[in-house]
Amino acid sequence: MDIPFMIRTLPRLMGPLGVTIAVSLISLGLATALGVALGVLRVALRPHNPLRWLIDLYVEIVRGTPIILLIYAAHFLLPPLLGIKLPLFWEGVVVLTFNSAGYQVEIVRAALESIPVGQREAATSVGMTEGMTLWTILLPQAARQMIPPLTNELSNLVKASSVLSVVALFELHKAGSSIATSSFKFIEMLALQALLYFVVIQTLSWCTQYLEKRVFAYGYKSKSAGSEAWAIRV
Amino acid sequence: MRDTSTNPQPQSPSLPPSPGIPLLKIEHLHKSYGSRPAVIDANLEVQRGQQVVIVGASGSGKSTLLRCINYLEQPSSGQIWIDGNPMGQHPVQTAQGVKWQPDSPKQLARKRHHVGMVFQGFNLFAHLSALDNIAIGPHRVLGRPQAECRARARELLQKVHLDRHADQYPAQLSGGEQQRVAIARALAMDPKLILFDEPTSALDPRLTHEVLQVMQELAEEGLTMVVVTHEIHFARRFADWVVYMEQGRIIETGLAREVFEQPQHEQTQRFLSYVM
Repeated sequence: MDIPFMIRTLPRLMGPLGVTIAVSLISLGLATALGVALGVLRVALRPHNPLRWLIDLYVEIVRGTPIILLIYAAHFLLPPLLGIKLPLFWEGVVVLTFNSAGYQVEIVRAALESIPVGQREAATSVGMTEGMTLWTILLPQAARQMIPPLTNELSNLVKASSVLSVVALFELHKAGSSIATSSFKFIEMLALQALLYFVVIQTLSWCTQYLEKRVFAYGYKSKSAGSEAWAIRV
Repeated sequence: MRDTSTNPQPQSPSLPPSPGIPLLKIEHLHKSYGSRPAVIDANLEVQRGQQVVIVGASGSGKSTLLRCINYLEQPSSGQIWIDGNPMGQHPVQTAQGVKWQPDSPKQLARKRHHVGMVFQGFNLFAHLSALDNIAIGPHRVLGRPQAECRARARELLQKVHLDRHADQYPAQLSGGEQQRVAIARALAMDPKLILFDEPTSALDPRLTHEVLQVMQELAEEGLTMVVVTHEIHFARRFADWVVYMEQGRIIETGLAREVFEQPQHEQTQRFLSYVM
């Protein structure tokens, strides 16, 4: 493997790496906002509400469609439907957000439903309304439950952004591949991409671990460190 | 389905509280899950300042009855009155006379905060410190300023002998401490009465003692309490009035002294012979 070549090429990948990070983080922010809003709504709505049925349909569509088809759909179907051609970057944001939010609806729903029913009963008994209970009691606790699956979702999202290369968004994978085809250093360029994706995802996952252990700690010790804090809970 | 026809029509349901009205009145309360009855025709009156203990075997309907009082469980039929106000429904004046309408969730929430509740599993809000567990109710529900609620929460923590644990989370407290915070949380809403649903069943004898002591102190201050418990010796000391339930029915009620010393009903005698 031509290590000096990899080191020399690294600076040329920094711009595309920035595109990958930007498209992922913007999508993540939008998808989390949308996913939390729809997930909370999904839990709050009564069983026969049509809006709830629509949310379920949306989740099934996202789950059942490969991301590459969603990307082509956004690229070829959105412009004639909407009458505007989004820049490639924003097309990527739309697809990644649409895709990730669908999974996050389920993450939020599952986390909210995992909160023991006693929490809801206690909130009810002090006179809180359902909405108040959801926002002030259930959601903050669900936030902690959501972090590990959201970390998975975040890493999926970063990796899925590489598929945007099929519509020629010049992100990390597209840039790496084009350098590979012009220099014939395929192994080197693949290794370099793998390394960079790994670094990005690892950094983000450290951030989410910090959130879980510090911001949303609520007096719990980490699950591995001590079981006694967990044992006290009934 | 709610059977509204059995509700006796009160002369004036929203009279201001007067000494003549019992603080809690349960009339012909039925609760069933599907075809399985949990509480059958329960009738009970609790006066202001009374401590009432409900005893009975597991599955006798004690907890269900208690949870119907603040509508955590919706009764199948019957009526609950809190200080002269009907729970779960309200009378509406129409051309045909007074009609009863079920309360909206918001109306129910407003009525509920007059009734505090302490649970077997404590159910402290896991993401809030002991202090905020107590302060959040008055702040969010009654709209009082946060600083005022926190100051009051500190006083209440002192009352349950936990002033040094204000900033700890539920996961950092022992079961007995959690339950005392839960009692303070109920007190913070200035409820007219507090319901206790087996408050010490999850605790060892020492922690049980801590909690019972606090309850005893509150009783001495004249707080109205309805307590479901298996702690018969405590109940004997603590209660003015005792209710014995079996298979969903109230079998015997009476002054604690009398029921514990000379139970009138055979079923009560048998139950007490197991536990005393």
